Amino acid sequence: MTARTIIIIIAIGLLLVPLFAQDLTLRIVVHKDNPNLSMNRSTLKNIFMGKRSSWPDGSPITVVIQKQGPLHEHFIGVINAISTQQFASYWEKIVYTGTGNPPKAFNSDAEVRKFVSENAGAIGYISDQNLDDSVQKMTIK
Amino acid sequence: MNRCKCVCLLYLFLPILTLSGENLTPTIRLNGFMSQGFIKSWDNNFLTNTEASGTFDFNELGFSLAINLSPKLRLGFQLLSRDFGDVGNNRINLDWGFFDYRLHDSLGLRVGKVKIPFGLYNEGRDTDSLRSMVLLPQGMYDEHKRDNLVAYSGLGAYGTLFLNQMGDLEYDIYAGSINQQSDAVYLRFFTNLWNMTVMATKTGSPLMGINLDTKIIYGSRLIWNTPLVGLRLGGSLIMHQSTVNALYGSNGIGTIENMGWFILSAEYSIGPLQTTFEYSENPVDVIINNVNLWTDRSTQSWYVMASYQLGSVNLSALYDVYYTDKEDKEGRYYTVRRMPDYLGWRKDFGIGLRFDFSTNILAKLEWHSVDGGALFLSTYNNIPTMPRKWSYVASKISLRF
Repeated sequence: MTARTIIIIIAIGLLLVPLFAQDLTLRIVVHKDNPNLSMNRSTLKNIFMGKRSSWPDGSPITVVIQKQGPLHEHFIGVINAISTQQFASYWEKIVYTGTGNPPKAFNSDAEVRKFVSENAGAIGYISDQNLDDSVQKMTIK
Repeated sequence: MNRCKCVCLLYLFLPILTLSGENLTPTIRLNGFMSQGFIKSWDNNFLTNTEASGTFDFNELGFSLAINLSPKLRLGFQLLSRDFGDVGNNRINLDWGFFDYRLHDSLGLRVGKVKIPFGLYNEGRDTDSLRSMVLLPQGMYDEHKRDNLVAYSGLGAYGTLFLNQMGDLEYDIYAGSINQQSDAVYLRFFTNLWNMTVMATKTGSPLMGINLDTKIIYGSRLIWNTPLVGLRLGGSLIMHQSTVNALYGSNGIGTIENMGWFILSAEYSIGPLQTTFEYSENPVDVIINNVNLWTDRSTQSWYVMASYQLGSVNLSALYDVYYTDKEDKEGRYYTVRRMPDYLGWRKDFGIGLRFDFSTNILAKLEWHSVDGGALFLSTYNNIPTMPRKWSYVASKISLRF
């Protein structure tokens, strides 16, 4: 393996580090009293696409997203495997045809965390560094 | 609607944008949109008189209100005002309005006026921000047939069936009636066809126009969100029966029946690229005064569309093919009647650009090169002299909240 090849591999690795770092910072959060602390990725996607509207006990789910930003882009890309524009268009169609309720949208981790802490059925996402004991984190299988 | 009115509406509308489409209260939500467009064509008029200097008679304005009466029960409605040439003329109509009871994720019920779920994109035909291009592929979502497709008044059921590793199935089924506006272009087309038949056969009396009473419309759509991320497949079916009435004359002079209008759909998205293929056939029977004006024929259409998202810019390309009769792609029906054979088909190649200035404002520009005169082009043009090949540009600016 030549020196040039090694340098290329290290450069690619350095480019990938931010992605992995972002993966570690994203936390799905729910209300402190919510017993649902584990979920598979497919179910999580269906919740944020409005296809699942109830927790297993029948209580309603309130979906919370962030309006924009790197965390929002990362979440949409990783969990839903679509672009933020496609996600926005998906919910726009639902709004302008009257066929569902769009997610609550906030500007920051703090606003998301506050809403989730005050609403029993809410689920949202924040960065790991802003996680505190006002909400619970959910494990994604 | 003239440009002055549009500008005035814009100034009225701009303050409302500050609401950003958020809830007025925890249970009440207000949204809206407005679009103003321009179409200019060369060599043929398209959808209205567009060849001379183009037209700004091309706009939509909508307001919707949605109320959560309970976690499972919602009520909502949307008012729509639109203008497209001499159709619409900015009458304010109820676009949709219904009660929605979501019993379970796998079963919900809707009662009222509901956008018809047909193909992948029919529900978005009146909201500019829901489309990459100014117009949906016309071979599939023809503006002239909009009244047949825009919304049903009746009862529908919907839901999602989760298939574990096999993805999920979204379904819609419905039955009801549709409101066909008397200025619909395809009604003028059949009026003209009847009058030409009267002239050719020298039997019967010409009609000033026709309108329809739809007895029933029913249909269904199934979309499979497959395990392959980004791939969804679908099938839609519509059937309806209408009684034909003469304008300023007798009622019940004939029938129009769609005996199984279907669309097969496939959409694949990977990263910023989205590709769509849809195929449709529409067998329709038109009988007026006991004359089989249009029977034993099925239209055939398909298109391929690709769009690529590059930041705030979306680039699209489309190839859209339509045949008036799938068994007569050469247009013999027209040539034996001494009309151009190319009235039997229409092939449209288009490229478009969409720019989202913000989450509220977007603009679009596109160009199309077209071969053929099908899809009611003869309604706006002089048949003996209308060229086979023509083109048009369309642009639009839209605001939404």
